[in-house]
Amino acid sequence: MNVDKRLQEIAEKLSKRIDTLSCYACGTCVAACPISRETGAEIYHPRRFVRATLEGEARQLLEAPELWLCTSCHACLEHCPQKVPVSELILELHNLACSLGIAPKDIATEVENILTSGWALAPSESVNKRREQLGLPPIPLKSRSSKDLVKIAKATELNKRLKRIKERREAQAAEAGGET
Amino acid sequence: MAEQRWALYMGCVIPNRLPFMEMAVRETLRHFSIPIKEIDGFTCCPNPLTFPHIDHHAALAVTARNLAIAEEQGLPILTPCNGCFEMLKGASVRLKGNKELLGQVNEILAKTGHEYKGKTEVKHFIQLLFEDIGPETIANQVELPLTGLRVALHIGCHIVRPSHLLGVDNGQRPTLLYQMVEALGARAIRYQDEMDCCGSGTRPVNRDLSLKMTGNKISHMKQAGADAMVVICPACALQFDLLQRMALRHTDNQDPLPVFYYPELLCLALRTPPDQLGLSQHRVKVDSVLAKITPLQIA
Repeated sequence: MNVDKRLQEIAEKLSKRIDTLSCYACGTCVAACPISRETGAEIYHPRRFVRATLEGEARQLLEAPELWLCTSCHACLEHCPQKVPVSELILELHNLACSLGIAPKDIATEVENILTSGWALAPSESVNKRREQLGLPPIPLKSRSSKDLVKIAKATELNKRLKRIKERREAQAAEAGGET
Repeated sequence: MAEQRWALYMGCVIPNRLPFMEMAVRETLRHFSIPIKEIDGFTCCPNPLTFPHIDHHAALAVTARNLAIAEEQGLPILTPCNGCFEMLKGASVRLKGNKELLGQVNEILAKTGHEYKGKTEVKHFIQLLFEDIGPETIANQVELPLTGLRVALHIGCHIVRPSHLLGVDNGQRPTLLYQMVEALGARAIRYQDEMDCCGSGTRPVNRDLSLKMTGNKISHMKQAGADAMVVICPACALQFDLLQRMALRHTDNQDPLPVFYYPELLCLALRTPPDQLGLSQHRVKVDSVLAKITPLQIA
């Protein structure tokens, strides 16, 4: 995949929904963002994600670990006076980073678990015991439907992205191992 | 109560981690005679905090598969989880108005033997209680008013935002939960940064940051004089109840704050015995609250 081309597509998509000059950099999204408030805006700054994308300078964002601090609360999108879909843009940037194999380990692991068990939080023997105490029926430990999710992963980019994320992590681990 | 039957989509957090919340959901359904059908074949919504961040197109196909399964039964979906609601409702709205997108999704779904025609309606459980039964009817049915109980509100992000897709309430200042809590005779408490996230969304990436957000919210609720807090989302409940002790380590305040799922408070106000609700499975003990609202039963 041509990353720069895809970034340009995302910027064009964003420009179609909003006038490029619409984001007048008021910073309401930063003020509304609980992550910016907690980390300080010098670390996490959603307005910069928007400006960088519109100005064709988002390439380096894809490598930035702080891009993944977004808690998906959509406060930025909801508060924007110009209706810039900030959290949707962050999601697009995450998807693009994943196509390069960049993603936090726990996020990729959970998606792999969903493909295996059918659920983000799989049923377990211990919870089935607590269900029994309440008189609730046990949940079968294996979902018969997860095979459909595997088919969806194969029919989309998902499988390739998970593979790339794994390869990149293994390469990084090998590099770190080589240094010591 | 209208006779509309619902496909119950329980999700994974409630049945697989917090089954006591399932007790309150089922008791509430029974009390108001809301007909449901349990359907085999649902999968993860999938989790809005992880799955779409890797591939939102694949996530939409997984959600559409769930919508198709309800559609095959001719039933609308009822879900007691905010995360599931955001995914299911969001997808149903996006696919309803977009034939091109629906076509793309169905190309993927064909591999699973399902087809989504774009017809499934979706409601959050609390939305059903609010819109189809209403705070006034609920207030009239309360047998044990929660008088004097000060309850801090945490509605959770994914029932109200993005409001242009979900359309349940105002995305910045919702009033639904306020009305529902006051209907039980309790006092709804508002506090600093009330509409902030519980912290759950950033937990897979930065656990300390996530727990700090949770701890700060609990501190703000305490400062506003809350005796307890109420949530309507199991992911928020998991964050506030299961992880509360760790969250409080990030704050100056170490006093625990009991966490209730709205249907639990509702059932208590309808005089369901606490034992029947499995309240002892809460990680943060709820005895202080029970002593306040049911002094005669405790004594």
